Amino acid sequence: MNNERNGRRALLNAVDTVTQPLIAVLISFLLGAVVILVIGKNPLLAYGEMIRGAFGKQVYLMNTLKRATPIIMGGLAVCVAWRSGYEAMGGEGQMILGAMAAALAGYYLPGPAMLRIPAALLAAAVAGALYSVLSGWLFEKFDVTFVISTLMLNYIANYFAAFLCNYPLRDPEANVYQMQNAQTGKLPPEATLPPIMKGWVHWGFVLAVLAVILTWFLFRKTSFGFKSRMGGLNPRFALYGGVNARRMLYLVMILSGVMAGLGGAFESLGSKGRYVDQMIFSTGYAWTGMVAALLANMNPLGTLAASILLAGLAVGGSTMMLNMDIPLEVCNIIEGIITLFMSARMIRIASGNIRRRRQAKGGGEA
Amino acid sequence: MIFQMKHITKTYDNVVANDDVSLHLNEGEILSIVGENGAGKSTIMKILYGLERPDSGEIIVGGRPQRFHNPSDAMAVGIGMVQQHFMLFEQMTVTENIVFKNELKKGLFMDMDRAVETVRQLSERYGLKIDPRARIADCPVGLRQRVEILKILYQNAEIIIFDEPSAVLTPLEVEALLETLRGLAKAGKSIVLITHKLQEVMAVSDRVYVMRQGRVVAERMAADTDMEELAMLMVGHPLASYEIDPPKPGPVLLETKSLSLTENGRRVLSDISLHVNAGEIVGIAGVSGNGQSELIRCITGLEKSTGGQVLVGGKDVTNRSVRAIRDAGLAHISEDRYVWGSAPEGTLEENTLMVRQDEAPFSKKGIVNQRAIRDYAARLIREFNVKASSPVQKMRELSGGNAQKLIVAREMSLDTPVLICCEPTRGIDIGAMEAIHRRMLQRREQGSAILLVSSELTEVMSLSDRIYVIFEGRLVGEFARGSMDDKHLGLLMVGGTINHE
Repeated sequence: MNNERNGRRALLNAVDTVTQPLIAVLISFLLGAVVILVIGKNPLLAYGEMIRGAFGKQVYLMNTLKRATPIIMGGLAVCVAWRSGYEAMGGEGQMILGAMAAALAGYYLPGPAMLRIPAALLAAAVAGALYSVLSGWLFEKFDVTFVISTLMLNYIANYFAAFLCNYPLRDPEANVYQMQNAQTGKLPPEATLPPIMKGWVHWGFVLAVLAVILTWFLFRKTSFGFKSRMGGLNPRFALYGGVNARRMLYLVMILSGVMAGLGGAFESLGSKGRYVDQMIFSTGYAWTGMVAALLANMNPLGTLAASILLAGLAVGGSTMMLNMDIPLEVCNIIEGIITLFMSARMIRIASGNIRRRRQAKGGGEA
Repeated sequence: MIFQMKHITKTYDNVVANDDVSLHLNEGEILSIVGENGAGKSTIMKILYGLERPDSGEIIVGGRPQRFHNPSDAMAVGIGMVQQHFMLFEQMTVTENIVFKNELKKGLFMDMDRAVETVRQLSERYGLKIDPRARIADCPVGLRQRVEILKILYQNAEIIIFDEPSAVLTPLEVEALLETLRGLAKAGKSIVLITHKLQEVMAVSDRVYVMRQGRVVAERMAADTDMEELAMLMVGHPLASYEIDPPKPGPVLLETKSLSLTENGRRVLSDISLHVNAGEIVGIAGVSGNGQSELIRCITGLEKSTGGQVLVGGKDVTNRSVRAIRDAGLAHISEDRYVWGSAPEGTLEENTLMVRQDEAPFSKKGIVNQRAIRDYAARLIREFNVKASSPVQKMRELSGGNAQKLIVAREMSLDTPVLICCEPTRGIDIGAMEAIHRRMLQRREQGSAILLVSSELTEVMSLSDRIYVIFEGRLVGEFARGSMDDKHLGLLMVGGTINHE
């Protein structure tokens, strides 16, 4: 009997956490429909076209999953850090460095695919983790809030990568007279993530799904997950219960950085086949990932679903634009409204975290 | 009758905070509302001040029914409230804080000289001495409270509500506050004093309401009652006195040697040397804020001491990590159940797992055993009679007393030789309090060393085998059971000395 009640309670909690984001998504699409009506098109047909364009054919679906891959990883990076009470937003910088590290390792290291791909992924994970640890260290040593340090570090990473692919590590075969973004050398087949099957999405997506399952496992089934969650809910309580806060901070930062770094690697090794200047920055993958994580309330499985939804919105949006002559901006409006709803939530989570942590650091004057 | 509240009822979720409460205030009188924490006194005043809205009932001020949506509405009919936590701008002057939102203008600018003059006159009229140009940051707590009062007087309040005004004050400041209250009443203001300190009630009030569990259970003229009667009315029945066997002290299990703490150049703890033997409850008596919290934080590893030693079971654990100190054999019921002692947003099972998360059977090689965790939570809930609906409900859904029982359950179940109990029964009902006391005595019988810190003198006196008195970060006295009386303790607690012979 008791178990039944526990189950029902857990279910109710789950429904509770799911309804709010679902309503946000629903309202966003309703407002999008209003815009489509104003343009003089039929919103039902338009959305039908969008869904078809995102999921309707194998090609479309694979496109959506490909786009979702870095978003999932960016989302996981946010899940890991935020659930532990650190509102780090450095996913973008870590993803950029990860993408760059993987592209360089893949291009310059010798050897067969069996060694080259793991080496490139490892390089990306290390780059992401180190960059993430840097913001953790700034926080621990100098009390620099994550929001500030990570946002600034994002710019540094982007321009550093831009410098690398414009000057010292520019694609040797690039045609200097062609108008194109700077990029690194094209990866040979041994260094690219191949498609799972012909016509399918690349293996990066599978690895991302594995990462989702791993993160879920860490959160739900390990004492690390318990300690990080308690640190996020009440850092003083965690301290009082004997959790080593410093150790948790760095573990969390490493894990979060690894996720983002790998997300970048999947994009350069799987989709682009090289590092192209601004490839992460201009697409906003890390930020879409953050929206996905917020939609999912930091649940890894939910983040997977939300990432695919948001990727589908962008991919299906282009089809809608082509076939119905509806400007792509409609999709931007929908995503923008979702983001707006989720930022309200983000500010609440972040300000709560900052307050609780300040109290924990300040000692006892409660 | 300057105001009247009729049949006010207010429920939060499923807790009845005020149950059909009716009360009134006469002009120029000092009315006290007394009751234990959680009796509903603050809620009823928040309703009067427009901070909360009642579910039903009526508020009549100046003969007319009122409906307050926010404190400004209440202020508009002359009701002001001095909150427990002051709302002042630290970097601004006394005058600026007082005239805030009602500035005197000269053209586009604020007329500072006239404002200062107004404040000066106000402070003289009511005998509230203050320097109008002083910066709030430089004012001690007592003066800040004075600024709060002046702020309300400046807005022409006729009714002034004080919510636990003495909680943050030193004994001398309390004297001054009581004087202020009398002065305000003499000047024709009507005062409502919410408190649980009966000495103050008896010192200044004309009339007293006693609240218990959301209801008004008694109304007395101050002249017709005494502290004993009020205390009885507040708690419902007198504090149980426990049958305690004489102590059989064993070896010293917890010891501090000249423990000291200096914070920003201020001596918070000076040379604290104490010891607790096995099979003994040792109390620390003192007015809160005299270093008790810091002492416990230094012992338990939550704060680094700057001098001296801490020994648990004979092992030096000075400034080790919380984990190392707990592993040396110490459990700790923290002074504030939601700040330190729990994660209110976490589930009950998460809250009972804390501390043991890396122990078998709850986790092995970092992988948790959900079944063991749930069974353990269910067992503690059952054994300690925690009223809860499920181990996966949130901690904050429990009432204060049940939350405290859960924390006590967690720490006692660690079965450590040393147990530190800080304010173990603060703000909880008598039933839960007695249950916790009996658990502590049981642990004493079993040979644990218990250090009890409490601001409730009766609690310290009824449980402790020995008592240390702490004042301004120093131990100023030590008594064995029976060799002390509350007058002497009280005197030491406020910095007095005892003349021997």
